Amino acid sequence: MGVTIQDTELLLQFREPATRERAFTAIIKKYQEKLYWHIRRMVVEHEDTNDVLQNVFIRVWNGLDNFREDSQLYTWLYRIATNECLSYLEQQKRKSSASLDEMESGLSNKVIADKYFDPNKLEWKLQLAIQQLPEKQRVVFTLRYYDEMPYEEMSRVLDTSEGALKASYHHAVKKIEDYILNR
Amino acid sequence: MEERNEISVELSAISALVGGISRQTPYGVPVGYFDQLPATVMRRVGAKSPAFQVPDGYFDGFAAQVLARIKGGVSTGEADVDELPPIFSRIGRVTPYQVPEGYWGELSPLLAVLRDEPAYAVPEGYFDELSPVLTVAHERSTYRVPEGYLEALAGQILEKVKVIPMERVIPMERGATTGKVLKGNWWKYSSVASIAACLLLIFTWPQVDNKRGEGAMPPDITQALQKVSDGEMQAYLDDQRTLLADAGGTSTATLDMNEGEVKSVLGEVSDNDLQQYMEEHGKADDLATN
Repeated sequence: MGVTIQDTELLLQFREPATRERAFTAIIKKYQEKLYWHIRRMVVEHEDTNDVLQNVFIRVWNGLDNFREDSQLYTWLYRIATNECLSYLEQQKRKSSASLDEMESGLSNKVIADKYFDPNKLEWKLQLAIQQLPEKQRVVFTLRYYDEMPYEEMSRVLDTSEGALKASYHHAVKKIEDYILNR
Repeated sequence: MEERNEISVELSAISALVGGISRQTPYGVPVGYFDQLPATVMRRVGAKSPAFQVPDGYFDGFAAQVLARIKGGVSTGEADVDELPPIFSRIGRVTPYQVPEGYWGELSPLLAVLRDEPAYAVPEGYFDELSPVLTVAHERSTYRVPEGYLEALAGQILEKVKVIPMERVIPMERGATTGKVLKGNWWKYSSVASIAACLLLIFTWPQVDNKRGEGAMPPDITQALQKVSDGEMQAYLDDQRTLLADAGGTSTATLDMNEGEVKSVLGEVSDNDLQQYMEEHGKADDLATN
């Protein structure tokens, strides 16, 4: 995804007090669904996703004045969303004093608890498999598999080399395959 | 965005099983969630919603409409109503104010009376006469002078400045009298200069004496002059003027005339005429030019 002229215009409008709120509303409308699904695949439940997503946009509102456009707005938003997801999951672990395994099983339980869950469908099995992955691999896999993000851009989002991302993605796919085949 | 095929090929190379799974996320989202999220976020960031709302797109064409009305002038026709923002089409044109009952019925006769009897009246025929008055007004002087004033004014002025009538200074035979005038003037100026020098010496002598300490006037002369009154001095000067006038013979110039006045009197006499006269009747040193 490249930087569109519209993003540049939105940023200019955001820096003008008279059009600031209107521009930010436009930014929300443009990116809310992409960011929602990115977060939802990480935290599973809608309510948690909603909390994280709102926190993401509040951070964007507070930080957009300092956004220097060294990167694309899209990349910057994903970076904030990813960090917010990881922070949220870390907070959940601390609150429950749960181990990593318990946390992963807790996310799996949330998948299973979804009212649309169907254990016979591969899509739901894939979601259960994703929740078994370490958090960093989970992020890499979802960004590549669902958001079709190039490694180059992903390296800017996660501040990780492309080679490491490719390896991480490879391991994630193999673990998912193993989970689906053996569960 | 990287091509989906490229990612699919990569995924299939790693795991054909995973590559074959639908990428549709199976989670559901509450209906209307994305519609409400922007407002929810804006409330949380503390953005202030304006107290008054305007229709969508109201400000988009507002500037252009204003500029168009400025360039085209203000009119009250239907075209202007069409140019108004859409919100005006939803507002009724009935003014919501109320007037007392029967007000219009009473107002109409009152206006008729006012129209027939204007508050300010002018004399009958005033406007008919006004125009001819204005026509001749500029030809008449507003102010008047006593009879004969202007005719006598020149003589009064000449009397006050003690100017000798021209016929007495320059007779018809200008060449025969000019030399006499000049000769008379020479005597006059010499006499006046002598008297003035004496008076100056008398009145400034003590000061010179005090300042320089030299050239003091003999005490007997100073004392004698101090005894002379102003009236006696004036009588002496008048006597001297009479004597000088008699000595001048036909000269009629007065002692009160200075050199500027003489030049003014002889202003119409050219230098050539004066030169010619002096060659015939006098010396070149006596020549006074304009």
